[in-house]
Amino acid sequence: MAWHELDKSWHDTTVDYCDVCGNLLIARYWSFVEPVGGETRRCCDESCERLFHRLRRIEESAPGS
Amino acid sequence: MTGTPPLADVDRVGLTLLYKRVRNICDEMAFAMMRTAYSPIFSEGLDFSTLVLDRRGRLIATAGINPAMLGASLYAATWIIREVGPENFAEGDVFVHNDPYRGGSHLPEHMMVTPVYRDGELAAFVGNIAHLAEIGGMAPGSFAATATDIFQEGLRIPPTKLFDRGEPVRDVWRIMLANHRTPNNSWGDLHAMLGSLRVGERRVGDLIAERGIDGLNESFEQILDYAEAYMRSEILSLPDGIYTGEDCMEDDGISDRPYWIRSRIIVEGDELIFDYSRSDEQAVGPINAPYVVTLSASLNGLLYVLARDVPVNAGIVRPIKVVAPAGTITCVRLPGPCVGGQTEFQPRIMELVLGQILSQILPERAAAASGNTSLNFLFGGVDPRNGEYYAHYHFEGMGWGGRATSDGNSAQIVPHANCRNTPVEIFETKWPWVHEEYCLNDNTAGAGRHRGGLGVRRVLEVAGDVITVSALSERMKRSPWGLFGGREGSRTRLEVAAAGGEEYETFQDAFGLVSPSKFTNIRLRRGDRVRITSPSGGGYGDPLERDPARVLNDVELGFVSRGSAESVYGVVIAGGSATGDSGQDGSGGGDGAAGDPAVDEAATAELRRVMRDGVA
Ligand SMILES: [Zn+2]
Repeated sequence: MAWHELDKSWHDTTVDYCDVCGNLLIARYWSFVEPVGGETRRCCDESCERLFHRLRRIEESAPGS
Repeated sequence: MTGTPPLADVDRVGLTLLYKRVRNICDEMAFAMMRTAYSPIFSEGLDFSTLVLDRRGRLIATAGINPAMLGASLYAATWIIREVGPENFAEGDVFVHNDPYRGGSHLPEHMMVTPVYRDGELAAFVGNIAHLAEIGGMAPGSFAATATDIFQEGLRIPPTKLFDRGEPVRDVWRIMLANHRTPNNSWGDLHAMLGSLRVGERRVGDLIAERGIDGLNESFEQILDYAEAYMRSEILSLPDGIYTGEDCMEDDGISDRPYWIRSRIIVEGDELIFDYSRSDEQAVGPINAPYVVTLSASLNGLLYVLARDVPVNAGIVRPIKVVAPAGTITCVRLPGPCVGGQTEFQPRIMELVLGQILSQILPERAAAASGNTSLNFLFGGVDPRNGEYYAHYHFEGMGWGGRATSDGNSAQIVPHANCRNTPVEIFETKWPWVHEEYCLNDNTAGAGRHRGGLGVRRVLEVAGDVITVSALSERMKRSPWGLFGGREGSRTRLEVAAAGGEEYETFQDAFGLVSPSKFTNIRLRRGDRVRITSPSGGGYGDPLERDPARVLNDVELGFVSRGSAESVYGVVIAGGSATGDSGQDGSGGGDGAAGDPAVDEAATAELRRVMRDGVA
C-alpha cells in the first residue's frame, strides 16, 4: 500500500487505467495487494482500494446481485 | 443556497452570494464565447461549458449549459495540471487539450485552461470546453461513424501550450490549423474560447483582489464541502439496496450487433456506487465511452432526480464512485474510437439511470425515454457560392419522455446536452442546403397519462454540386421506452431521395450500408434530398388515465389524430371538423359533425371502461 510515480518517458503515449474503477491514472498511482490471490493492483488512490474491498464484500453477501 | 441544510456552522448567506457570483462569472464567460464564435455550433448550438476551478484544478462552478461535459469538467483540467505540474505554469499561459485518453470526452471537444495569478502566486484557474465543428479525421465534421480507432477521428492533442506568457505558440497553431478542414472557423472559435478565458481571468482577478488568494480558496473549499454534504444528505434519503437496469447501443456502425450496458446502483448510507462492470466489451466502432463520459452520464442521471439545486462542482462526486472497467463499452481502451460515446452512449446511460433504475425508488421524479439520440448529421464540401470549404456538425431536436408532472418537451435536443437547435435561416445562409420541410412529427409521441414529446421531420435538398454527408445516430431498431404503462415513442429514420425522384429509401438500402444509423462519407449531388425524422419520446403512465381535455387539446393542435384519441386514449370527441385525422396512422375517426369539437364524456367513460375491462 503506497503511492508510486507513473514513471514514463515524455514520448511514451500509452495510457494506464485504475484496476478498480477504470479511470485513467495521472502521473502517479496507489498500489495495494489483493488479500485473496496476492495480486498487486494499481488504482487512483486509497478510496479505490476501499472500493475494491467494498465491492468484494457486497459480492460475498449478495452474489450475482 | 437553499434546500437541505447541511454544514450549519458556515455562513450560508455569504457562501451563497459567493457561489452565485462565481456562477455568474461562468455565465459571462459563456456569453463572451457565444457572441464571438465563428461557428453556429458555438453561437447557436451552445455546445460548450465554462468553468472556474480552484488552484488545484478542482471544479468550483460551471455555467449550466452543457451537462454532457460534466465528467470532463471535473477531470480534464486536473489532468492538465497534474501532467504539466502547477510549478510549470506562468501568467498568460493557455493550455489546450482534447484527448479522451487524458480525461476528455471525445476529440472534437477542446478544453482550454489558463491560470490566474496575483502578485506572482497561483490563485485559481479558469477554463472552458467547446466542441469544434471540424478537427480533421476521416469524415468532414469529424464524426466518423465507421472509425475503428481514435486516429481516424481527428487530431489528438495532449495538454499543449497554445499561448506562452500571452504569446501564441505559432508552431502548435500551425499544426492544428493544417489538420482542420475549416481552419478559418477553428481560428475564430479557438479565439472565442480564449476571449472567454480572458473574461473569466479578469472577474476571478476581481474576486482575488477582494478576498485574497487564501481567503478565496478557503471559501471555495467550503463550497465544495457544502455540495458534498448536500449530496450525502440526498443519497441518505434513498433506501439502501442494489438497483439494476440495462439498455443497449443498437450497433457500432461496423457490425450489426447490439452492445449491452448493464448497470447497478448500490446505495449504502450516504454513499452511492454506479457499477457497470457487467457491460459488454468495448465496440469496434465509435460508440464507446471514455471513463469521464460514463461518469458524466451517471451524475447527470442522478442530478435529474436528486439534489436538483446543488452547486455542481467537484464536491458532488465525493460520496459517489463509478466503476467502469477498462476494455468495456463503458471505458474504452486506447486506441478504441469513441466519438459517439459522448452523444449516443451518454444519453442512453443517463436515461437508464434516471428512468429505468431510479424509477424503482423515485417513480414521481423519473421520466420515460426521450428520443435518446443526438442524431448527429455531418456534412461538408466546397460551397459553390464562394468556393470555400465548409463543414458542419448538426444535431437534431427530438421528443423527450413523459414524466409524472408533464408531457415530454417536443423538438428539443437530447436532455443530457442542453444544446440549441440551429435555425433554418442560419442553416441556409451558411451551407448549400434548402429546406423543403421542417415540422413536428405529429401522431408519433408515446401515449401516456403524460405523453412523450414530438420529434421533428426535416427535409433538406442539396443546393451544391456535391455534399459529403455522414451520420451517427441511434434508436432506429429499438423504440424509446415508456414508463408505468406509458407507450413507446417512435424511432429515428434517415432517408434519401435521388434528384427528381419522389421515393425515399433509407440510406442503408440506398447505399448498401451495415448500419441504418451510422455511416461515413456518402456523396450526394445537387437535387438529392435527405429526410431526417427524429424520434418521439415514450409516455409516462396509462394513456387511459390522461385527462380527456388534454387529449382534445392534442387533437386540436394536430399532435394526436382523432383515431388515436379513441383507439389509444379511449377519448371520444364529438363535433368539429376532422382536425387531426391526417395522422400517420391513417386511422381517421370522429364524425366530422359541425360545431366546436368537445369530449363526449359519457361515450369516453364507456369506451375507457370497455378498454380497461375488455367487455363491450
Ligand atoms: Zn480508481
